[in-house]
Amino acid sequence: MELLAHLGIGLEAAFTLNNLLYCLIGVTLGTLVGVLPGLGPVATIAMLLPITYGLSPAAALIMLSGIYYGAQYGGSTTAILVNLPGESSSVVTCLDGHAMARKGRAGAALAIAAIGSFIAGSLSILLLAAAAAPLAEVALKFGPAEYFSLMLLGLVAAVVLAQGDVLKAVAMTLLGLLLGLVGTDVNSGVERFTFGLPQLSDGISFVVISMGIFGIAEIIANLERSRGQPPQVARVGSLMPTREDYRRSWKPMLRGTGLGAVLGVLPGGGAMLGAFASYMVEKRIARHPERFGQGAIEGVAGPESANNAGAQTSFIPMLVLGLPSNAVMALMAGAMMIHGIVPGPQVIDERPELFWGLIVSMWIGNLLLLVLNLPLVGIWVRLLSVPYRLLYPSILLFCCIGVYSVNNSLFDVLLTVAFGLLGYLFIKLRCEPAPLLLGYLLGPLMEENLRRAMLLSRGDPTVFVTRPLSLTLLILCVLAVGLMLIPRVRATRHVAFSED
Amino acid sequence: MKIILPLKFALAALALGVAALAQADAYPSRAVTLVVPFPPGGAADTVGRYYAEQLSASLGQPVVVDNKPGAGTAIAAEAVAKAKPDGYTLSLATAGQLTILPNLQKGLRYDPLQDFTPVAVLASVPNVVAVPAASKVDTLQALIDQAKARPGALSYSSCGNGTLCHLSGELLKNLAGIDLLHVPYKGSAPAVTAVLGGEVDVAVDTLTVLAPQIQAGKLKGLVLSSAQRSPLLPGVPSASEAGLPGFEASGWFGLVLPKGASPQLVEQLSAAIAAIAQAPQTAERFAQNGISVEHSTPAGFAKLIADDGARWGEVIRAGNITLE
Repeated sequence: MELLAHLGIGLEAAFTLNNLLYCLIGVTLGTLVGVLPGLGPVATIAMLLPITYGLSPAAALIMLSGIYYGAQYGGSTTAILVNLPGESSSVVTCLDGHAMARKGRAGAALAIAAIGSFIAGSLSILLLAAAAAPLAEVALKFGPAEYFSLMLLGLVAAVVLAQGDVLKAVAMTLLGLLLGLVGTDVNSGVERFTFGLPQLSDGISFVVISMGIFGIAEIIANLERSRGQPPQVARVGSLMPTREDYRRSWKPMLRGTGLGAVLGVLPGGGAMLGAFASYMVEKRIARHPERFGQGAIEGVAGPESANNAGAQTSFIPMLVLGLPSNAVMALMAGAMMIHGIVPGPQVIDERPELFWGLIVSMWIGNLLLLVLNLPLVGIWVRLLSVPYRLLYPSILLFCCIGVYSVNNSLFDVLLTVAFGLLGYLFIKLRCEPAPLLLGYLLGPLMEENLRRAMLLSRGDPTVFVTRPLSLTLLILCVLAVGLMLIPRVRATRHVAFSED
Repeated sequence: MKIILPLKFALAALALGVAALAQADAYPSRAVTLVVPFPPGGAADTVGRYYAEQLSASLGQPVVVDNKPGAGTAIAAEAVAKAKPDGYTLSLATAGQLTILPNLQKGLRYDPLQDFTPVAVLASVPNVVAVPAASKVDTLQALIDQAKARPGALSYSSCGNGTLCHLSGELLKNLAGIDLLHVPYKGSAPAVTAVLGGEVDVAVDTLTVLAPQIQAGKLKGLVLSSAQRSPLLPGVPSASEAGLPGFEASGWFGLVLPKGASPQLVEQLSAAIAAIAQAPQTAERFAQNGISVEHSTPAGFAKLIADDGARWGEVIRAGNITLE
C-alpha cells in the first residue's frame, strides 16, 4: 500500500490550482507544437526553459513534460490530415492515417489516435508509478550486445516484411543506413561523409530527413497532381469511429502500449522506435496485411499508442537514475538544475512530492489532452477544406521555422529542401520512404553497439550468443528469416509493408 | 579676436555634441548575444544562462543566450571567430574547445590562441574516477594494483572520443603507468549508465555528473582530479591524497570575445564579471552541481588557455590519440 501513500503525495502536489494551470498550459502548447510540422518539443522546451526560473520546480517540470507528451497527441493530427509528420514520432501514422483521411475517414483516425494515446498514456503511467525503479535496473542490464541483437531483429523484420519490389526496399534500407553513417563515428572519432562541412559532423537530424522526404516531397507531388485544387478528400464522413473501428483497434492499442513502454525505457529510447515496431507487428499479424497502407485503422491505433507510451516511460531513466536518455530528457534534467535540484537517484527519496506530483500530473495531463483533442477533431477536419494556395505556404513556413529551431542552423533548412527534392524523386520512382527511415534509425545504433560489444569482449564474437537476452533476440531473427522461406508466408509477403 | 569667441562656442558645441554622441554609443546600447557551444540543459548552458542573466542586470541591456551546438563546440567557435569584436557577440568558451580540439582535429577553422580575446575564466569542474558500488576496488591504489596485475583487462567509459573525460582517463593511465581499455559513449548519460550496469569497470567524468550517483551509493568515488577535496563529496580523496599528485585535470568555462576587441571593452566586461563572481549567491548557485566559481584577469585566462593547450597536447601525443 506504499504505492497508494505515494500517489496521495502526488495528488496533493498535482492538484493545486497553480500546478493544474501549468499542466493545462503545457499540454495545450504541446498539442500546438505537435500539430505544427517541424517545430517539436525539444525546441519548444529549450525556448521555455529560461521562463521556468520564476516557477516552482514542480510547476516547471509539470509544464515542460506536458509539452513533450502533448506533442505526441498533436503530431498525429498533421500526419493524418496532410501526410506530414507534425512530430517526428508520428511518421508512421502518415502511412495509414492519411490514407484514411483520403477516404473521408479523417475524423475516425483522429479520434482513434487520441483515444489510443490516452489509453497508452494511462497504462504506462501506472507502470511508471508501480515499477519505475525495478524497470530502470532492468534497463541497465541491456548492454551493447543486446542492443545490437535487438536492432538486427528490427532490420531483419523490416526486410522480411518489405513489400512489392523487394529490391527497391532493400536499396532504400541501404540508403538509409548510409545516411545514418554521416557524421562523427562514436567509436573512433573519425568524420564520415561530411565533406569537410562542420555542420554535418553531428550527422543529419531525423527532423531534416522526415520533413524533407515526407513533408516537402508530398507538397511538390500534390501541387503537380491537383493544380491548386483543394485536397482530394472525399466526404468528411462520420467524425467518430464506428463500433467496427473500436473492435479492430483495442488489441493494437494494447500491443502498441506494451512495445512502446518497453522500448521507451531503454537507454537512448523514446517515442519513435516503439511506433515503428508497433506498425511492423500489426502488419505482420494482420489477417489481411494488404489493407495496410490503404487506411487500416490498426496502423493508426498501434503506433499512436506506442509513441505516447514511449514518451511516458522514457522519463524512467531520468527520474530514477538522473540519466537523461534523449534530448527532451536532457532538457528536463536542465530544468531541475535551474531550480537547484540535482538530477540523480536521490530525487525520489528527497523530493517525493516532485516525483509523484509529476506522475499524477501526467495522468491529469493525458485526460486534459483527451478532452482537448476529441472536440477539436471537427475543427481539424475542416482544415482540410482550406485551399492549397493558403495551406501549403503556411506549412512550408512552419517547416522552415521548425527545422531551423532544432539547432539554430540555416544549413539544416537548406538540407531539408534537398531532401524534399530527393523525396519527390522517390515518389516518381515509386520507392517507399519507410524502409529508408528505418535504416537511418537502426543502422548507426547497430554499428555503434556492434563495435562497442566487440571492443568490450576484446574481439570475441561469441558475446552475442553467450548473453541470454542477446541470444533470444538472435533466435527470433533466425525464426523471422525462416518464416520468409515458408511458401505460404512468402505469398503474403508481397503485400506486406505496402503503402500506396 | 572677435572671431575667436564664436569659434569657442562652436568648439564647445561640437565637444558637447561629441560627448552626447559618445553617451549614445556607450557600450552596450543594444542587446548582447552570448554564444553557448552546447544545447540547452547541460552544465555549460547552466553557467552561460546564469552569467547572461547577471550581465543583463549589470550592463543594463539584455544578454541573450544563443545555443550553437555541433561539431564538438567547433561550430560555435568558428562563428565567434568570424564575428565583429564590438562586444555584441560574447562566447562561453570551454576547455575542450580551446585546449583539446585544436590538438586533435585537423582542418579546424579557428586558432584558439589567435582568434579570440580572452576576458575571464568563469567556473571550473574537476573530474572524478569512480567504480560501481559492487566493485571489489575501494581505493585508487587498489585499482592501479588490479590494472597492473591484469594489463588491459579493465575498461573505462568516457563521454566521447577526444573529450575531457577521455583525456582525463588517458592522463590517469600515463601517471599511474597502467593500461585501461577506453570505451567511448555518446555523452555522459550513456557512459554512466554503462558503469552502473557493470558493462564497463571504471567511469571518468565530471563531478557534476558523478556526484549524485556517488552520493546515492550507486558508485564509489576513488579520486578527484584536483588539489583539494570537494565539499560535495568529502569522502573522495584529492589527487595527491590518493597518491597521484599530478592528476589535476579540471574542465573550465570562460568568457571570450572575437579577436581584436578593444582593451576598454575587455576591461569593462572583466570588471562586470569580477563583481558577479564575488557575489556570494554565485558560488551558492553552483555549489551543489560541483562547479567552482573562478575568476581571473584577462592575462591570467590567456595563460590558462596556453598552458592547458600545451599540457593536453602532450597527453595526446603520449597516448597516440587521434580521431582517425
